[in-house]
Amino acid sequence: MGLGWLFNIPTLTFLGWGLVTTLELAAIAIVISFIAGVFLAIGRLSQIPLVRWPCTVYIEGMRALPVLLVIFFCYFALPKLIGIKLQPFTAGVIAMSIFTAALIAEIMRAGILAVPKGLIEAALSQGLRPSQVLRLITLPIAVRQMMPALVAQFVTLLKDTSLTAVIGILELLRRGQLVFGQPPFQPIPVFALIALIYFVCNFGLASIGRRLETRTI
Amino acid sequence: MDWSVLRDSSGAFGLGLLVTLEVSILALLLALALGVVIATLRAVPNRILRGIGATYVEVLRNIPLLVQLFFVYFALPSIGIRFDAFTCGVLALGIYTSAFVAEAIRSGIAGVPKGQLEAGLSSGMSYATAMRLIVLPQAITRTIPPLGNQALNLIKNSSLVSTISVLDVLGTANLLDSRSFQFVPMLVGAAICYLILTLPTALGVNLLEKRFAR
Repeated sequence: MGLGWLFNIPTLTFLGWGLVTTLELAAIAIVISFIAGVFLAIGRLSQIPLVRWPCTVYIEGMRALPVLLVIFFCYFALPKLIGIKLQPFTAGVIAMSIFTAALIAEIMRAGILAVPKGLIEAALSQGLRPSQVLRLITLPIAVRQMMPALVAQFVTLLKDTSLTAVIGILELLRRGQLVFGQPPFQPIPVFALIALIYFVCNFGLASIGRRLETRTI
Repeated sequence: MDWSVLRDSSGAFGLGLLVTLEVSILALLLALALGVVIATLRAVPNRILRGIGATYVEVLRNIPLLVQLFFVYFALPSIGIRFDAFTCGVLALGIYTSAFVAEAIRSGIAGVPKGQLEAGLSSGMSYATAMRLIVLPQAITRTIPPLGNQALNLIKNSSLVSTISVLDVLGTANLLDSRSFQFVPMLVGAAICYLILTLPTALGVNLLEKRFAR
């Protein structure tokens, strides 16, 4: 069985652009979800109930829902609510970001709570304002300690980008489906190839995470 | 937006809820059975068996579930292996989750002091017997909270079977959507169904975590 129909320049380029879209989607969602997650974590730890409660409800609610439901919601329902038609890629980025933000928030909350109280008190007694302590002391330490968990979450995010295939984003999996939908209609080699690509990306990212885990602060 | 469609379709959602439960429970049983076997493989002294266990876990964990599900549903029939959509869903979910179950159990086994196994071996038990009677029972209590989390993930991941035309909660919502175009009420309805399943499970997992926390 020849595999020339799969391993030729046009087909591989076609799939390669899918990988680019996958990585692009993941990268944008990682940045947005990290920033939003940090704010949600701080909000959930706030002394003010009016800030704490909405953040808690958002985090717990989002964590209880399937990400595929969130993707469908952003693509089909959100445009009806806000009256703007969303491109699949935009809807995908919004869905992956708002979903992962809740999970990042829980990781960051644990990280912030694990920062030794003495460090914070020492910084406060040096005359730093609470906002400065948060920015200069608490958050950097929390991020470092939580790096393995954060990376594991980003691996999950990278895997979950494949779900956006169902709303028609031409990422790796969707393009793979289009390739095996063409003659000679052989899905197995296509699946083997895209599975390998996903494996290399995720295993690579996870390995970086493990390297960070062994590094002490 | 017409919220009355939600009331009219509550029966359909009820059926979807049952399908989601059914898929999740069957997949969880498969994942537990496979997970115990793989975790044991990863703990035995034989290097080749350990390698097989480690490869199984790493391969399954690092390939998206949807890729695995589509593989079972779209690719296996091309070599003559055919299942209905429901079975495909259970198989893919169960096998994917088994890798995470195996990891949870493995860290549980690693947490059992080595002396326990050695004591069993030195009193004349075979490796398998010592593992089965002494190490695994102790490992299980340590792994119950992480396993609860995997069960929770499994319920949420079961929504992927809607992409291969299984009428679970999300599949039902999508089908009703395509008829009524009431996307907002339908997806909110689906979200409520998932919350009914996941919130009590999450609460249970939290209680277990507190109970078994050392």
